[in-house]
Amino acid sequence: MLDPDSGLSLTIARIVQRLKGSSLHSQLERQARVSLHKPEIKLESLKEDIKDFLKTSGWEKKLQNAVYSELNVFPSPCHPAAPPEHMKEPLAYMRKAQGSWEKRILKSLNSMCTELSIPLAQKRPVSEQKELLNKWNEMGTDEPDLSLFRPVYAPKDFLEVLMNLRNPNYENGEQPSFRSHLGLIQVPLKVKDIPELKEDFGELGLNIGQLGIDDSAQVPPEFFENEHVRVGQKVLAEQDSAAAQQYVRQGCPTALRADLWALILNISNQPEDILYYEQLKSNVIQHDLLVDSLIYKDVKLTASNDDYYFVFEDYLYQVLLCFSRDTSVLEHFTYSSATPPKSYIRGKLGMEEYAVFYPPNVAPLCFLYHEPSKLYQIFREMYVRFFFRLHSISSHPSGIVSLCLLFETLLQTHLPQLFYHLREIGAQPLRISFKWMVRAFSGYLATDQLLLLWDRILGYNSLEILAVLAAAVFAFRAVNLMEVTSLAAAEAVLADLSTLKVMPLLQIFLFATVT
Amino acid sequence: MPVRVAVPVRGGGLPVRGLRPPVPQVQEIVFRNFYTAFLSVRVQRPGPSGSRRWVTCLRDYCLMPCPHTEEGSQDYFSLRRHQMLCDVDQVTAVRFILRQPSPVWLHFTIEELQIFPPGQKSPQKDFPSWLSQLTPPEQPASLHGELPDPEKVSTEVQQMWVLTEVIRARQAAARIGRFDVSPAILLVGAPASPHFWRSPPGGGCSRRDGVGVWGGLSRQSDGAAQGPTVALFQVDGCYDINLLSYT
Repeated sequence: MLDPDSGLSLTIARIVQRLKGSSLHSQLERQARVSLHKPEIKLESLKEDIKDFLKTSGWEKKLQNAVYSELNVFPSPCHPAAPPEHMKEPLAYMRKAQGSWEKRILKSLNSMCTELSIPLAQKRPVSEQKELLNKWNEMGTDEPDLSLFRPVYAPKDFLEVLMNLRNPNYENGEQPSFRSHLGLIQVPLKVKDIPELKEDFGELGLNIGQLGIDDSAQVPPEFFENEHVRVGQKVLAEQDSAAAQQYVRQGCPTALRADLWALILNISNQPEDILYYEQLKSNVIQHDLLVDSLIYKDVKLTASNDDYYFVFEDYLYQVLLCFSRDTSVLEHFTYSSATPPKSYIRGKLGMEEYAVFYPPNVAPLCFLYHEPSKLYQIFREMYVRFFFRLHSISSHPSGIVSLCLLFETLLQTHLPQLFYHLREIGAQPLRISFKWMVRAFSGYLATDQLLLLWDRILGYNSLEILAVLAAAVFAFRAVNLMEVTSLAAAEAVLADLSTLKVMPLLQIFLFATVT
Repeated sequence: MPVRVAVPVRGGGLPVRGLRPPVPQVQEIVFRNFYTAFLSVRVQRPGPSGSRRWVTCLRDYCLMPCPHTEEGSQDYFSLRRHQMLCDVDQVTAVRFILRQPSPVWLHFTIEELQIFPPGQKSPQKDFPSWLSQLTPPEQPASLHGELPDPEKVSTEVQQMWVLTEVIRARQAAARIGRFDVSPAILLVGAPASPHFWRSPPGGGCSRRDGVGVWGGLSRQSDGAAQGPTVALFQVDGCYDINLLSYT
């Protein structure tokens, strides 16, 4: 471990390095130069005066937000002697497992290519490009033949991989003992218990107002809601990322949500961002990737059939197709245990890299953002901060392995009878809750509840709340679950989550359950 | 750099080497953990009357906050002078005591051990050079006519030369200052366990409730005039400790 002084210097050095080439840096320089014309800037105290000017004009705040964003996203620097793969993932066996998983996906993609004789990537002919450009806003009307495409992998395949994850240095004996875990996950990661979770999620406590509970019809708005909205407007006026992140822990008013999320994720719709999106769009038009067909199929099967999300089908294509070509997403691979596979365009020596990912959760965001470029940026930022951890094997506390273990541990500790019963009937609880967690509950909860949940993910900068919610859902339906006698029946009990209210469940599970 | 592999001496003490000239101070110890929970470090220094005594310079330093889980299990650590309990000047031998109270791990050890004397920066620790360019206007441009200090330059060049010589002389593809500590010790577990006295060939410590002792890294004199930067160590011996028993 680094001792505090050198750790701090390294962090500062790293943040400066990252911000140095950014557009914020050039904007600050420009502002500083422009300010030289102002009368209050004197030559004797140039530096101080410019600093004051930047403070009063709000630029210092923007810089603070950028620094805060960097601190949130990138992990703390590890030891200088540590090689880069150690920063991605400190445990060697997890790196290896992630590597084999990626190879498997790639092999599956490649074999699909060969079977269907479609290249992984190819340049589109000019006529097709024109056609796509015309249809850009209504790609949903297209009905290409996708019957031959099959999904590269399903959540249960990924769950199988996670179940078979073993630490070679761990006592993985055949005999069940105090060392083996009763659930499906057998790696000894550190997960929090309820007292620690209570402390971490303190703002969800019983005596603190929450949107999702204290804004219901029976509660007069003067008690909490009005004040909360007022505070939210103030936070937006201040444009302070850190304050916004603290604020959303109690939930976001619907009217303010889009702006607050953009503030927390430090997204400003600069002209260069719009330009970047247009560039990605032109990449989509010029080149056809195999992944595109997979995306089409996935969207057609899921969002288009969904009662809430079908209206956004066109948006989803626009965002996902661009996302699959966005190489800046690759930056996050320095702190993700994954390594992106490369694909080559047939006939060209150029390398076009793309990330193979499990189609992420764009649809709920469509409720909030209407311009494609802003929608795209929000989605991309959420992916590189949070959702990528749901698709890769790592030991991070918000990684899917830790979430699964946290879920199983919480259930075992606080509902031991239920856990034992389900295990006996062959319905390991994780088999049911895995698909919820891996999609961050998108598609399972009602949209307003989902957005309240994602408020907390942003507010606490962690995905652990997904595991807590999964355990809370089981706790809520415990009585029914104790009576089932098969996995299918258990799944039927938990099939429909659309009527659940997220915040009361979380509060009861964390703060009101007698242990 | 020659490394001598010591044969474990069961139940016995530590073979003591002859007196050696004192080595300069230890500035930093860097290593990679492999499932060791607590580390203690003892150094041997010349005492007041010329005899040498063992002094504990680090006691039960926690590497894994929760020994049953993976936290910290494969991380890199740095131990610096100012963290030590005692003065680490004139060190002739260093002893690492590894503890892993949790029985769930099969092996535990520390790897990639490097000991740095002062004056030599640990290899990757320098910050990017542009960091020093961050506040150029404030530095007066005073180096225009001045030449750098020749004494300093020559010491640095000497250090670099010695390091390159050492690299060339070594056969293993290891970095400067890396000391291969092989099989040392072992560990002990519940006497009822059939693996109680086993000392693994690959080095490090195995099995339960272990206490592993790496006997001595002691400096070997090899006559050559060495600059202040390079110190050679060799593994001295190892011994078993039976501290815990479940019977």
